[in-house]
Amino acid sequence: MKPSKIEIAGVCAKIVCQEKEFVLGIEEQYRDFQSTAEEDFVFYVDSEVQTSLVPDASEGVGYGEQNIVLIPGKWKYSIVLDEDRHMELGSIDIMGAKVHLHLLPGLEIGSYFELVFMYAIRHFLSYQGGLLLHASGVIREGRGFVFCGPDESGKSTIAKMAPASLVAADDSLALRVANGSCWLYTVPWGSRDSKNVSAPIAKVFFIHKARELEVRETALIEAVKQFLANTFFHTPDELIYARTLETVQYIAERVSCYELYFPPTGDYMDALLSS
Amino acid sequence: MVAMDNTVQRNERMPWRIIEDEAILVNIDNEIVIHLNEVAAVIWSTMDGKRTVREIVDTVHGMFKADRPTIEKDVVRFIEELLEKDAATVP
Repeated sequence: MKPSKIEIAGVCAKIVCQEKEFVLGIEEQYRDFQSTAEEDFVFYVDSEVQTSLVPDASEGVGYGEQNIVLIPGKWKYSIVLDEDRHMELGSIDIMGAKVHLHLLPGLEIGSYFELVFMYAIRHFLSYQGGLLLHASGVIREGRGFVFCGPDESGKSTIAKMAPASLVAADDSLALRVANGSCWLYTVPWGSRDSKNVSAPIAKVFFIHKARELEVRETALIEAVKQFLANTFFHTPDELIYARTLETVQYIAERVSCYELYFPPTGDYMDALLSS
Repeated sequence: MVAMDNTVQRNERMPWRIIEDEAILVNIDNEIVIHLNEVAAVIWSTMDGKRTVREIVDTVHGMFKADRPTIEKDVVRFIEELLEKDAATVP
C-alpha cells in the first residue's frame, strides 16, 4: 500500500499501514492536508503486533477522554483497560522520527489514531518552533487574526462576526515561527470541514465576553501567560515545555496582542481587523 | 528551615524564562504557569545548586535598594515557599 503523507502546520508525516481500508479512511479524513513534502517523521500503523500489558503505567501522564497514557522516559503509549492494567498501544521516538501505533483486535482504531496522531504532530511541531492553541482564527486580505481563549470564551462567535474574512478555525489552530515570521495554520481537528490554510499573524486577541466593547494592549508577560494557559501540553517531556515557552515569547514579542472584551453583536469588527 | 549556608537548587523540571526582568515558570506536573516578579526572578535564576542562600542574599542586596535584614528575610521566606511546593531542593 502506497504511503500517504499528511502535512499539518508544516510538519509532514508519512503514514505507513498495510490495511488498505484504514489508509483510504485516513486519506478521506485528511484530504485537504495531503502533502508531497519530505516527511518529518514516519507514522507506522502496525497490524499483527504482539502487545503486552504495561506493568508500571501508573506513573504515566494521562490525557484525553480515551484514557491513553504516555509513560515518561519509555515513550510508550498505553490504553487504560481498567484501574490497574494498561495495554501497550504504541511508541514515539522523536529523535528517530518514528511513531508506532498498534492495531489491537477489537479496538476501534479511528479515534485512537486521531488522538495519537495529534499528539505526535504536537511533539514534532513544538520541536520546530510551533504550538497548538485553543483559539479561533480568521484570514482577511492575506492577514491572520487569532482569537484566543478557553472553552466558552466566545471563540466561534467572534470568528463568525468578522466580515469578508475566511474563518480558518473555530476552536483550535497552530501557531508557528517560520523564517522569522509568525504564522497561523489551520489544523484538521476541532473544526468542521477544516481547510488547509495559513497566513502571517497580524494581531492576537485574548477574548472575553462582555456587554461593552473594550480593547487594550496586552503587556508582554501577560500575553506569554495567556498563550501558555491556552496551549495544548499534556506531556511529561520538559523539553516541549521549554521549546513552547521560547516560541510563545518569540511570538508575543513580535505580534501585537490585545485584550478584547466584546459584546456578541455590534458593528466593530472592521475597525478591529484594520491595521 | 533553610540555613544561610545551604545551597539551593531550583526544580529542573520547571522550564522558565526571564521576560522583561520578570520570570515565567511552568510546572510540568500540573501545567500551572507561575509568574515571578523582578526580585523573585533574580532569586530563582541564582538557585543553581552551587550558590548558598547567603550568596543569593548578597546578589539581591547588590541589585535592589533595601536593607539587608529585610532582603534576607524575604529571600529565606521565598526559598522556603519554593521548597514546600517542591519547586526547589536543598541538595
